[in-house]
Amino acid sequence: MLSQSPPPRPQRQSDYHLIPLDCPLVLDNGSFCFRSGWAGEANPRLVFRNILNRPRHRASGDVVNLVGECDPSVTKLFDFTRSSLRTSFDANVVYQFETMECILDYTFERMGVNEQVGHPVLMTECPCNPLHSRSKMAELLFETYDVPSLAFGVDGVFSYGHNRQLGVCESDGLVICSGHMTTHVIPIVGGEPIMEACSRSGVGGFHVTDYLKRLLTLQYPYHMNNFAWEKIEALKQEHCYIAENYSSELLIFQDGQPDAVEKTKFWQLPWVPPPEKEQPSEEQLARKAAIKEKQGQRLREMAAAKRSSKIADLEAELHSLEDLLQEIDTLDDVEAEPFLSETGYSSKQDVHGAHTKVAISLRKAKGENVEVEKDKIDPPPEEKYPLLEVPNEQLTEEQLKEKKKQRFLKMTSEGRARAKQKRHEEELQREKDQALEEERRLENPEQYLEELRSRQTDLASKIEQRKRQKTDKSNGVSSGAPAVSGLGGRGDRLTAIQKERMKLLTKAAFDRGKEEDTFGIKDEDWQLYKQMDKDHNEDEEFDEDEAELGRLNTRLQEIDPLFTPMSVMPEVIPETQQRPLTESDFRIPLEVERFRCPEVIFEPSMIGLDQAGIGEMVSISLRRLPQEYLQQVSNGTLLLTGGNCLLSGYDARLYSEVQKTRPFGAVIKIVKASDPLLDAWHGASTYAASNAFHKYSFTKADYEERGPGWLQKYKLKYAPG
Amino acid sequence: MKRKSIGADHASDLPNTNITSHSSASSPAAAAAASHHQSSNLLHSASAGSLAELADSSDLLLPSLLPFKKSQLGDRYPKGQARGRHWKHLKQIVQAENYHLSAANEANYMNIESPPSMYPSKKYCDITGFETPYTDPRTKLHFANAEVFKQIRALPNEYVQGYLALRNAAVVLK
Repeated sequence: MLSQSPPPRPQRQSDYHLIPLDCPLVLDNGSFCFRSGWAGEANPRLVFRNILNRPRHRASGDVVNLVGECDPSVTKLFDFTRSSLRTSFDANVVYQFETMECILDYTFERMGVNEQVGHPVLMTECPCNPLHSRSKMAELLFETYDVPSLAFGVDGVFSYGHNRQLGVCESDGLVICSGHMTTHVIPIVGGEPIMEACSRSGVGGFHVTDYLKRLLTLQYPYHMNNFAWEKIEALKQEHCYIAENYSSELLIFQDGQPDAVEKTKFWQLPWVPPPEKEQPSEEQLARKAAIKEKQGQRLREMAAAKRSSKIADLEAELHSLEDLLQEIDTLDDVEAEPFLSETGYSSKQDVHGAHTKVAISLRKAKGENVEVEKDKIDPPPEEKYPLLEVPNEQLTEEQLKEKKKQRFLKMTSEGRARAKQKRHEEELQREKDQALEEERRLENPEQYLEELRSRQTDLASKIEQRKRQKTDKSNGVSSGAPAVSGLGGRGDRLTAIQKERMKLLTKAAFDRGKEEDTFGIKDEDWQLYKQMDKDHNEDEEFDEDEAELGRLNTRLQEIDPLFTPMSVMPEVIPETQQRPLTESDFRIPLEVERFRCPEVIFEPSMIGLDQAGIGEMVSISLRRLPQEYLQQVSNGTLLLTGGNCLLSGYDARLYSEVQKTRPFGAVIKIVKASDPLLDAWHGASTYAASNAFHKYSFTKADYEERGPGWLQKYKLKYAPG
Repeated sequence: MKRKSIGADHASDLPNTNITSHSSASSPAAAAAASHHQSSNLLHSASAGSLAELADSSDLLLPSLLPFKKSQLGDRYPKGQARGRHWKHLKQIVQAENYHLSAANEANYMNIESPPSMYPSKKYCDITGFETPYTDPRTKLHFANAEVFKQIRALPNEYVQGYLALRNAAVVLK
């Protein structure tokens, strides 16, 4: 769709020695393109982008100069990674003469110069070129290239002259030269420019392309690599147009009128579909399932073997303990003592304890219920804690200690009993609640279901939110904004909870204010420390909520077979990340941008430039004109030249702009140059071939004699005679 | 005839860049001889593929010695030698021209510049480009409707500044 490869590099001309020595070389040094050719010829010999690349030559490792746009294939030979495009222009004035020299080197070499340039040179420059730039250029051409004589002229005026010859425009009028970096309006009277009335704005085709490029980069950051300057330039040339009435054109898109669809163009970026994942076949799936089953089986077997060996161990221990107990029973206390110490137990109770423990764990291992029997063993408290009833005075020290121990034991067991009681009560309560609910359900099933559902959604959303808070980074990912890596600093890496904690900490650290310290008066104050704790999370509450949600879900499923427990907010984030990019993601729609970007020429305030647009510049130029010429010029033709005016709709828009400032009924003649890109060169070529050139060109000796003051005032007569 | 000799020149000039130290020390004739020698060596050793490459790059590259020039770039600015800034920005150029001293009715680079527009500048939505009266007080972006407003509030600061920079209104820290 877009032609991306630059034109082939110009061939070195072989007929240099055939050109008569007095035939001038015509160089149109535009900030976009450099054109070079012979005076009187129909077309320039060389046309190339006026830019310099300084890539590294891969073979030799040297930094070399490459002039003009390069074919992408030369990256094989040259390393462009550290090369930036250089231009010799700041706005429309040449300021880097070393770059200029490289470009002139290339020009003369390609023109076929061998020993000496030897031809006079006519070079274009911007209107009112500063003396510094003009004198440096003259010095460069005289001293380095030994040019015999030289003349400077303004490109726009040459273009006007050429079109006048072609009969496109009259001898008086305005030339509107819309170039790469600047736009000029130059009034022409009898073929001569009135420079005093000229006006220039610093907006040109470059700014249109740059605006489009930056706009697209901001809108599609993930395609940034595709937005090379050359591609955007081609895009602009193909799709951009100038709206005749900007406001109404905008409204077409704003109101979504049917025209908008028609006017939308798409730019398809190169897109390669990702390799499709093969669905595993039936056989593969079966094999996988078999392997999984096999592994599961093995694990189960291992677990069973482990369990049985444990049971066997425990049983053996139980037997030995039972034997021991029997043996102890047969012996009396005195005999038992050494026997026990031999086996490692201190008393008979100890052995009993160990026996019950082993028995319980055996039962556990066998998967039987333990709880019930344990309660049965408990003797009544009076028997268990006999010392508690006896007053302290009657007890020995030893017994006092024992009493303390017994009291502790009693308290803990009582506590346990209370907790058990509570549990029991809670269970009862729950049963009651359930009964109540059931009753309600039977009473009005519809309403009950509705209530349940609303409770479920509430709870689910609450949990969802909390989850998100915990995991989400706060930089607006959830709101669908483009996530950009490396945007911020530390703040981005913390979750909301971590941030909250940091806030609390800093507040505590810096809150040593003048006010009275009231911390601790309220009990809630101490909660602060809990919140500051690193591992603190509201999990308890969270868990409760989750349990409740689970209960509600099961209940709903019981009642309503159609119910499916789904989270209220669908998980958007992972979806966008996982969704494979499709062709449409690489298609960039150009809607408003098509005419929004060229609009900067008419409204430089859109790019923050405080200057009048072209429409206004015409009236400014007319205002600046001496009174005697005003009539002639305003009745003359408006000639559009310069590459920028190739944008479609330029003339129509200019007409409507100029109409606003002209009296009613005034005739406005707007014409486009026959070839907006090359007419300046054509005009210059014709001029150089005429006798006038030799009259107005100057030699090195002339320049040295007359000095810079003269060069400043130097002016070509474009229409001699 | 001439074309042929130029072609030969090209082929010999590429390796010449390899031995710059060499050539700068000796006379041009000796350098040419040396480069010729080198190039013939290269030609012998190089395979067919690299030969094609050589021809390619010799067409792209200019010879380092251009006979039509009175002074060569390489001689004036020897490689590896640091040199200060040797050029002026347009701003400095214009300032140095002292246009305020010249006659007021004479045209110069400064006074042909177009003045600020007489019309009030219109406000356009920074995102969609539509005409709009609204400005977000926080980001200072213009927005066309509630939807765009939501969008700009969700924009990371870098993008906000990017949009502002489009109309030269970004915050610039110096």
